[in-house]
Amino acid sequence: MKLYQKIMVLIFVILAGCGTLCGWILGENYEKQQFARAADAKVSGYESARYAMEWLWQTEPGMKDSRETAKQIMDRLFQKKLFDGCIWVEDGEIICDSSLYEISWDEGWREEGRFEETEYVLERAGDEYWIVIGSALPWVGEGNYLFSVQDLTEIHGEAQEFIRQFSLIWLLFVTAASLLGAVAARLVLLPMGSLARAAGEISRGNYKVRAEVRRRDETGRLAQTFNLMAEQVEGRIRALTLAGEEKERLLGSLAHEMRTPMTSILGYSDTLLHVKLGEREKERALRNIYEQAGYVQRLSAKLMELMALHQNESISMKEERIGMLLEKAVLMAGERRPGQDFKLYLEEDFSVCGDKDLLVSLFVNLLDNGAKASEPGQEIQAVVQKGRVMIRDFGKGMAKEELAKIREPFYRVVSSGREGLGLGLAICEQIARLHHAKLQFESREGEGTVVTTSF
Amino acid sequence: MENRILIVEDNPAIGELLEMNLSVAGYRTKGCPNGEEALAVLAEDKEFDLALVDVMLPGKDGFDLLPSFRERGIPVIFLTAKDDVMSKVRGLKGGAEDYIVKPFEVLELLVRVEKALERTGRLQKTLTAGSVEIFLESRSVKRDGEEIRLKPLEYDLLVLLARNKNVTFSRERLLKEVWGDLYMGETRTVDVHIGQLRKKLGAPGLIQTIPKVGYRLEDRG
Repeated sequence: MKLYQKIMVLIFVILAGCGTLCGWILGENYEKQQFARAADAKVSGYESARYAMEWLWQTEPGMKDSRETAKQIMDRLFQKKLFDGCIWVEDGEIICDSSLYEISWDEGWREEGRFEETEYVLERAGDEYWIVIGSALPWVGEGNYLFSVQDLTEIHGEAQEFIRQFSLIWLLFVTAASLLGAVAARLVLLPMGSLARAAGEISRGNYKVRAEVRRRDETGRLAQTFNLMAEQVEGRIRALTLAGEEKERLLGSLAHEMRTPMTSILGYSDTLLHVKLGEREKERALRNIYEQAGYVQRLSAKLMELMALHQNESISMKEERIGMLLEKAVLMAGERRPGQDFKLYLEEDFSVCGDKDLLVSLFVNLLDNGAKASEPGQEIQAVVQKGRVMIRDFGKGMAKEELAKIREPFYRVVSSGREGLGLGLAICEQIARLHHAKLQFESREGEGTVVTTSF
Repeated sequence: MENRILIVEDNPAIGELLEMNLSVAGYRTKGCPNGEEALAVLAEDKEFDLALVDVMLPGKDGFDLLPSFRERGIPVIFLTAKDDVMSKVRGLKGGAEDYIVKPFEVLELLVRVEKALERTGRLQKTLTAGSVEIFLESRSVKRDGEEIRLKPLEYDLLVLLARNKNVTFSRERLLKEVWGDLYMGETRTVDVHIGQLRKKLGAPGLIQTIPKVGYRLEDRG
């Protein structure tokens, strides 16, 4: 069952329950009141009749003397409207009766002293209600009573009719209220459907979907929060996918890179084991195995470095002066390639937050790349200006197609004779990424290359 | 007359490995580090029986070189670190004779080279091993001009060893190559036939027993 349907049923049950209780209490009270009022009216009518009888008894002479005369007078009188429903009882025997009812005289009443004064009893038999009013007639004699039996069924019917009408009106209202409540709930809950659809789409892998709810109430806020969450999830998933793809590419390239030295190592050892070689050839074979194994070892060491950067553990971020870092880098690059002319142009100095060793290694790498592209003795510049570091060389430069590939792991520039491992720039890129810096390459064939690091 | 093989391989270590093995096995080799140089060599010298070409070369790659070899009627075996099907298909469709995936076994290389030469009818007609001459067309063997009668299996064994001089064959490998894949015999059979062959040839030291490995025909000529 849907939520709005539940709300509808709940409203209906609650209101119908309340209405039934209210109607019942109201009906009971109304009926009681009506009975009381009717009883008052009947009693006063009875009193009038009794008074008329007493007055007649005192003034009419024949009444006191002869029961026969009294009966005749009273019989005539009992046909009048005033005495309608009256019964004259003497010692349990009915003398005059104008009612449709029979009264069974109970001797116990006299002993109990009931009906000495005027009193009434409400009686009920099946669907019929009536009132019995009675009192003793002391001026007639001991054992004489005047009773009046009046029908009150009509009053009960009125009360029943009141309850019936009340129930009908109430039911109408309750139904209308339930329906209105359902509509209102439906309207309020409408954004939930859109949210559920969006959540379903996302769980199926469509991370681009957003819940379209433009409201300012709680549902609107929920949708906003949901969208925020979806955005985060999408971002994370994209980052994870990218990282996964990058790792896959790296692994693929690695397998490719390993195969060349492995081919040599396996081939030469196979040759040494199975082929009769001369002393000179044996030595060449061994030397090649040694060199290629060394290459594999360097490759794995560099790769570990790159992996460590990927996991970016053990990096201490501190404020460092860029001038200091570059001075150190230029010095180290010079030691590595004594034939080259490395120069530092410090137009300004600023501090960056980063790992000193990593940043120095980044700049040494870039300077070294510049040196590889340059002729011996050519100048390689490190320039600091406008918050950026530029490493510039005036060497061979690169064509556009090559520029697009240099960041890929294991890519080696053709003009460099493909020396090295091809991991240098991949490492530089990682270092820059860790420092939220960007590397930009500009190059023109024959004119040189500029690498700009902007923090 | 030995077969001449042109090797085009950019990695110097692998280039040297190929040259070393092929020359020890009795081929004459010439190495080139890239496609441009290979074309320059071809322009002067067309007398190659086979070319071993690395697919991944700087500049002109192996596929680019293929037409130049085909023009001169030189069969090509591609060498590559790639074992993906597409480049294999591309190479073979373009008219390459065969395909060798790195890393490769020395023996596999030699067998493939030999098969390629055989298919293109470029295999030399006579083999020499020390003082022994083998005439492949007439299936006859002479030592110092004197004819030696060999049974067919002994002859096949001698040819295999003589074609891959200085390369050690395990007994299992010999069984497979000479008796065929389906032969279920024991390696003792090989020892018996080698013994017969040695006795008939009468050239001491020509077929060497390599302990724990197998046999090889040694000839450093």
